[in-house]
Amino acid sequence: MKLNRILTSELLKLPRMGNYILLGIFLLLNLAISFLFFYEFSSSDQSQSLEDLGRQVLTSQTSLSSLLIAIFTIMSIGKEYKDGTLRKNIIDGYTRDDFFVGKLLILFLCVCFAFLLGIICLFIGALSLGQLSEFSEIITPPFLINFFVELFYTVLFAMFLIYLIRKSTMSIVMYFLWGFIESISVGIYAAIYQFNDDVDGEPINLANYLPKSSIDSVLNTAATVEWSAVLVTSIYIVLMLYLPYYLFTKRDIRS
Amino acid sequence: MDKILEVNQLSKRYGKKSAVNGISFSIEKGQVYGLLGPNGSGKTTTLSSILTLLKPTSGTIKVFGSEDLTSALKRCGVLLESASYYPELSAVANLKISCSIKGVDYSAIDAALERVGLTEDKNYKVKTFSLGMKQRLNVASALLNDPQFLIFDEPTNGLDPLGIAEMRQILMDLAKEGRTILIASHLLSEMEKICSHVAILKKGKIIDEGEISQIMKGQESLESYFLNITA
Repeated sequence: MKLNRILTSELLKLPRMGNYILLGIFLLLNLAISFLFFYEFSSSDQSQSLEDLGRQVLTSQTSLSSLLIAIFTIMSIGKEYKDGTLRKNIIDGYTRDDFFVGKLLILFLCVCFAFLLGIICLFIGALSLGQLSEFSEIITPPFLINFFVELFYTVLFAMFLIYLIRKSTMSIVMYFLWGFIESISVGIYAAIYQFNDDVDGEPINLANYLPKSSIDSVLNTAATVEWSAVLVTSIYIVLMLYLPYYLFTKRDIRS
Repeated sequence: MDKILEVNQLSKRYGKKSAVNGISFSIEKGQVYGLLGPNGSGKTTTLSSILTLLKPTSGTIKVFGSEDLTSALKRCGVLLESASYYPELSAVANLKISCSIKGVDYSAIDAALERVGLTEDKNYKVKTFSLGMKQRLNVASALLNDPQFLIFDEPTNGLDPLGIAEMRQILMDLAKEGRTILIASHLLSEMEKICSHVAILKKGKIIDEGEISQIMKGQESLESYFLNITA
């Protein structure tokens, strides 16, 4: 009953112009990805392998959808801070746990919705270009798990940022900056390893151990990844669930 | 008499700075209690602590005799200094959200809107409302659960003279109905008319408290007394 009330109030908050625009962008770009890759594949005389097609589609769709779902997560919580509605919800009788659970629940539903829409967009592209058999070949369980888990982890990471910073714009900037810094770090590490003759053995994949990149890296190299990287990624998942909760429940809500 | 609110040795510190320093007061059923004080005296910190928005450094707060403030707040009506609403949603949608959180039936919405004169505007987005209308919407939200205890923080801030008059009338009507009200405001002339009791805060401490008729004894007005005591 309580969860039902929490979910009802969260659903009532959804109809906003910003959300419609994000949904429109999501649909357009996902359809564009679908049409682009299936068209390219159909006109390549089968020189491109189905495996490559699947990887390219997954990478593009996951990156794009993750970015949009991160923006949605940050905006939906950031606006509650900015408009003072978080304070209003608390004085109306929400506990902080209620608010946190409500946001987590609605964002989980949005991840499911985005996941389904993404697959439907791929299906529409494949259907329109007569590539249904290729579609069924690339939509494998690993593809689906990879897509869904990345979307959900992105929501957790975005929640961590917005509950830490409490301002939408700064959080979105930090989201990009964090990704940029991790990419640079991986690049610098690889360069140091490559040009340092004193270092022996295979280099470790630094991306496996960084908060934002680890999930993507571990999922994409699932067959060869080390157990330590899986452990680190699991720790990050738990941390990204706990840290936003800790930050939100232990701090004051100021006007 | 039944104590509706009991604040005991409440303190709130930010690092070395003390916003509220060991204040105690209580409100009994039917009282209209005014929290007065200059900016930075600790009024909003006190109210925010009662409303669980801030975690007190020390001290206890009881509402309806309970320290479980979250449950107690569901029986209260609250209006904050800055209007808080979902600007892109209609007045009705905003009130539906409040109803869902408070566990109140949606049927209470029409009566609340009628009371504050927003029935005709109920389907318009709140971002198109004037400040006075937004504040009246907040009053409607505060009244959804027919609360016996109301907490108002600077309800007339930013309102034009017409808005202030409307808000004054609403406050007076609520007081006449015998509801218990805690109100923080700068408008001393209004407070003098409405309040039965006041507490005057300065630098996080209560420097005077009691029945307004006792405090006003030998004074020209609450304003002159306030200026003398806080200067």
